[in-house]
Amino acid sequence: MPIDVHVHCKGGEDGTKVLKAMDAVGLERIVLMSRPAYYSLVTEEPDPVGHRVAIDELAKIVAPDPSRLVGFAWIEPTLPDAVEMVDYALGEKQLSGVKMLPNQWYPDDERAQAVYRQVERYRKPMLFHSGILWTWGNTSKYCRPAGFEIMMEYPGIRFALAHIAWPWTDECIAVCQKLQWTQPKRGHEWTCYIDITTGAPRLHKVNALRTALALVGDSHLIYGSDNADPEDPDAYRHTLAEDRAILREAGASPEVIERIFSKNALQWLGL
Amino acid sequence: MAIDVHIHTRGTEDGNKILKAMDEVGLKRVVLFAVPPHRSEEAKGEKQPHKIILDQIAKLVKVDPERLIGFAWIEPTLEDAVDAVKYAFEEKGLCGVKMIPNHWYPADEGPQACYAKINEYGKPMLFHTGILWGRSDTSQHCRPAFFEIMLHYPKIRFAMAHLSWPWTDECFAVCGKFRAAGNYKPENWRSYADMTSGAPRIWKTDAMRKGLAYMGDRQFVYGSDCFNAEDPEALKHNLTEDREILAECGCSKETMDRILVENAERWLGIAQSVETKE
Repeated sequence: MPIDVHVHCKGGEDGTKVLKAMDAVGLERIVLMSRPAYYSLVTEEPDPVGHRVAIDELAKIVAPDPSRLVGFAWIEPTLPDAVEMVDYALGEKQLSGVKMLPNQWYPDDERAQAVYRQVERYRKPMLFHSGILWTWGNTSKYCRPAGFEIMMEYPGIRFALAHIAWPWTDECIAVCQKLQWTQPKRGHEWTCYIDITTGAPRLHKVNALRTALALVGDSHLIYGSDNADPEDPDAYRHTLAEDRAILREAGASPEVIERIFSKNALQWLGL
Repeated sequence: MAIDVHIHTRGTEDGNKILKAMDEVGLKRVVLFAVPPHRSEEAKGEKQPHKIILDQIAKLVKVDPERLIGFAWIEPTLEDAVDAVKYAFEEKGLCGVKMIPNHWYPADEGPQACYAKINEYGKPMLFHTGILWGRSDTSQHCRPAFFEIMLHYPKIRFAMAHLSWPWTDECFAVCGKFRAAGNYKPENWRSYADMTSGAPRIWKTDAMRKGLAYMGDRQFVYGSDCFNAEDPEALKHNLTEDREILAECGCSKETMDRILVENAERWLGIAQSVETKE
């Protein structure tokens, strides 16, 4: 059964309703991200609710079944409590990973690296927004995939680059390939995953996946929907069907599709 | 008929000869750029270098400013840049601004002071984007993602030239961001992709195919990058090739008309009406 690694919440969802929606479409697990501590995904305006509120909301949503509702805390490293909140999320609240979005900071920013160091202590996975960023202003430049090469300094973190970093899909694949080849030489696990969540227009996405499958293989590709209505089964259905079709068009066999939709995510999550 | 949005001048051309060449190849209008002020021999050493080149282009287009559309070339690192914007629009009646990020990033303070001034007039802009064939490490300043800064200047319709080759996907992604920022309403979509060559044909065909699939056909404009506007052959060459490329991409006549004529008029702000249906 598929795993969706990229689902947003607004904070007030009912976990049992989310599980019901998942059952309706046949999802085994989802990675559910807390809302950002500083920004509203609904109004697209600043909304400084703070980490603790967002993390508490998520912990409550996933409480009915944390093995299926895999909670990721959204950590904003420019907030003064970022490192402390990693402990709160992963330690006290037992959440399963961290989401980050380079919000006008580069991935090698010292404040971000302080967060990575803390996450690495827990050996938990991370999901990064990468690629074009539709927040207001001059924001996408911080989200280039090559910027995430810094994660080589944190070999205990399996991290995923979302959206195949479109439009920089070739760069994303190249970074993934770099880590594929260089990390094992240092005795490290290959830690870079590519989250195929849409952002890329279909034609681009087919080409990108064809390239990714040829260059890095299928073991580190994972499926996500970018769904922001986790209680609604229809919100999951469309991308489940479309990404299967896209992968077929890109030449993926049924076995490969199955791995991308399921097994690879378990590996990334450390399950 | 076509509109060519991307023609360079030396400053010494005869507007009548340009019109004659345009008639021969079927060009309805052309956008003519002033000489870059920092490259102009006449402007060298002048305290107001922009004034020299703006006077030149205004004189050139005077014979028929509706068909010869004069764009001021503004170099924001020169002291008179912001004043030159006012001079171009208020005194010289020019229609838009051309800029090339010449060792400056689009979000730098100097360019932004110019954008703020241009925004007051609501005039269009054409930016060089993509690889830049100067003699030093110049291209890094011309990535299309850097033009997201234009979100802050809502009255400026701007075009990114050359499809930002080799960063064509990035160009389209930025356009998509502007489309979303405009709530998907066509009248709000301010970013355009100027398909002036730069990209080798095989890349350009592929890029246009993907761009049309993603963006539709209402945000592309045609340009030649011609440096000899008096020569009909120079104007004709890229027009012929780009018609072939668009045909290869499966474009209908309606799509070609949009890309070759209508979109440019909307970008320039001289369209008859704003289309509200995608």
